[in-house]
Amino acid sequence: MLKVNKLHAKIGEQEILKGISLNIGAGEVHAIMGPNGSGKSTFSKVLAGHTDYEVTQGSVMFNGEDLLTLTPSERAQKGLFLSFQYPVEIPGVTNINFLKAAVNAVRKAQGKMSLDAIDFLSYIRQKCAQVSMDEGFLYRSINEGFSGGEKKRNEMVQLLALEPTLAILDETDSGLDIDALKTIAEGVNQMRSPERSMIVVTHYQRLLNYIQPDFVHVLANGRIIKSGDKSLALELEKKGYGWLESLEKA
Amino acid sequence: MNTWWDELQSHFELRSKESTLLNWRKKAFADFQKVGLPKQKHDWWRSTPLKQFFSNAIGDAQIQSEFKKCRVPKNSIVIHVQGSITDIETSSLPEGVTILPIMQALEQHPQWIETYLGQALSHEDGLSALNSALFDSGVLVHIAPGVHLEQTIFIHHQPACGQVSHSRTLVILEADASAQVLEYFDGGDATCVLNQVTEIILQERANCRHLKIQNLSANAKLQSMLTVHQQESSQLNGFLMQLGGKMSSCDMNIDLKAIHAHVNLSGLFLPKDHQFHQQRLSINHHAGYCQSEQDFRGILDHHAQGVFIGRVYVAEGALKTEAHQTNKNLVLAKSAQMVTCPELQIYADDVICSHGATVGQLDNDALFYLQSRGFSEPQAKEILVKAFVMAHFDTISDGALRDWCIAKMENE
Repeated sequence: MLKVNKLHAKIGEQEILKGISLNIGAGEVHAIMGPNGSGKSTFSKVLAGHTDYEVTQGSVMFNGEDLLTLTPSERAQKGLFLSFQYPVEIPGVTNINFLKAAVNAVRKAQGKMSLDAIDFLSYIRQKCAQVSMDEGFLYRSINEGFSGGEKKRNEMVQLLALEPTLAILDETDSGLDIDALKTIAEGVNQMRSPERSMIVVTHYQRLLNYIQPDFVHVLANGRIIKSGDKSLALELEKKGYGWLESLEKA
Repeated sequence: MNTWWDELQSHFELRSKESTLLNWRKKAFADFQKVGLPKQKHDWWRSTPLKQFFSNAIGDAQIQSEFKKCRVPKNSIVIHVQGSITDIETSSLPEGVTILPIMQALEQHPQWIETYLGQALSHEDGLSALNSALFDSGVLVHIAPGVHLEQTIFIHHQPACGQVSHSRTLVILEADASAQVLEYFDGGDATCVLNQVTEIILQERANCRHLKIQNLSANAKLQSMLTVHQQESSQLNGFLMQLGGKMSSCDMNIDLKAIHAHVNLSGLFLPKDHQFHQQRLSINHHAGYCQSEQDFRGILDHHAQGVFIGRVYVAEGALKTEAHQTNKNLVLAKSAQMVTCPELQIYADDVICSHGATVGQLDNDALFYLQSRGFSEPQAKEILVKAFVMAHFDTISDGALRDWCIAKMENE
């Protein structure tokens, strides 16, 4: 589904990704872990097409198509979804209008029928229920004045509603209490299917207790320095990142 | 070819043949001659490209015989003002409501004219003095004490092509009266200049909503002044939206003359291409316990220029004044330019005054967020631009009127 080959990217003059290679098959869940500043969020944003970052080398193929030539909206329309670490507040745009337009923009691009107001309402209510988001948030401006947890729930509602084929969850666990974490993980687990892949970016092993990955990769200094199965995450939790970094230097 | 000065002199000679207001007009013309046309070095005009404003010598007057119609909000009393013509589209008015072409009012209601005309207008600015000396069209609105006019008074201004025109609106709301006035400017296909003044007198506890929508054609130039006198516990809700024109300056001077008067002004200006939109406000708290709020937003694209000057003056002894001002601007293109100057002059203690001004671009992160949800870049920009202005329309409580204003903006 996703083939990343020797990807390099920079912001301004600073190179952040220094040759990442990664293959993700359909239905797989990959966790990307790593210390602060290792390039995890950059990797997520580059995949989604953030214009602040410039790809200098390497390639990314998404379902056989060159992802890097697509605009961010085309990537979304083709089934890529990024759940933001820091969802943006947009005063003046009602959440429900935004969600409806987004769902229909993606559906239209995928050749599906648009949902009318009534169908959409029952569709989105069901998604809210799945992550225990109060429906009142649908009628407020996008993320405006939402708490950290509410913003993340809103991201999950979008994930559920847009039904992507590749979901990238960037530090979805940050700012969440343990109950919210469980609810959100349940929502994510319901999305797991043989056709849908996920990249779960996180600092801590905790989230991976709830969303069990098939593979775990450790990112440090812009490169993947170790890959393994979920036991790698447990090892990291015990030993920290230091041992891997010193291993790499040696 | 006529020069401006020749034109003005001959216009005045024409006016001075009328008997009514002769001395008043003579004084106004003398005031004008003393002050003259606006000069770049005047503080009030320093950000205006004056050369452009007065560049074209205006040829002979050509009054368009046919008036371009526009869609009118529901439940309106419609008045057309073009060149020297004022035409009222209504046969019967509710009791206590007088709406007349101003030239007719000079004859029929000299008591109101003598008492109120010019009361709220200072001639410190040459163009205002010139308006007093030369206006030959416009409307008088008088609402008797305690009368609430349900209908919207819709004044449709169209500048006469190839002409400098001066029109005057005088609105008097007696004690406890209320009314809603919408002044709509459109048309002006050939080069034209309109110098328009609206005076509003609000007596005790009067309540007025005033809307001004400027949607002129690409060659029209407008200088429009709204000047208001507010007495005790009166309320003014002002809404301004500038969409069109080549150069347009919509200014406001509000005098809060007695305690507990309240004024709330909100404005939007959306210049693009080479348009110039200016809004200069002067809010004067002469008495204590008054409140004023101003919230103006601009979106500038292409090579557009915008100016916002917001003066708030709090006189000595105007205790417990509360005044708030905000001006936020979104500049969409590198070659667009915005000048914003808040000016607070406070001579009283124990007041609450705040101001804030920002000039910025669209938030890149917000753009990316929307794009990552499947919206194309132009769609994402449109969503953000709309979000920036939409909340302003909520200040218009009349739903039909609000929808009418939103439709005007969306057409642009």
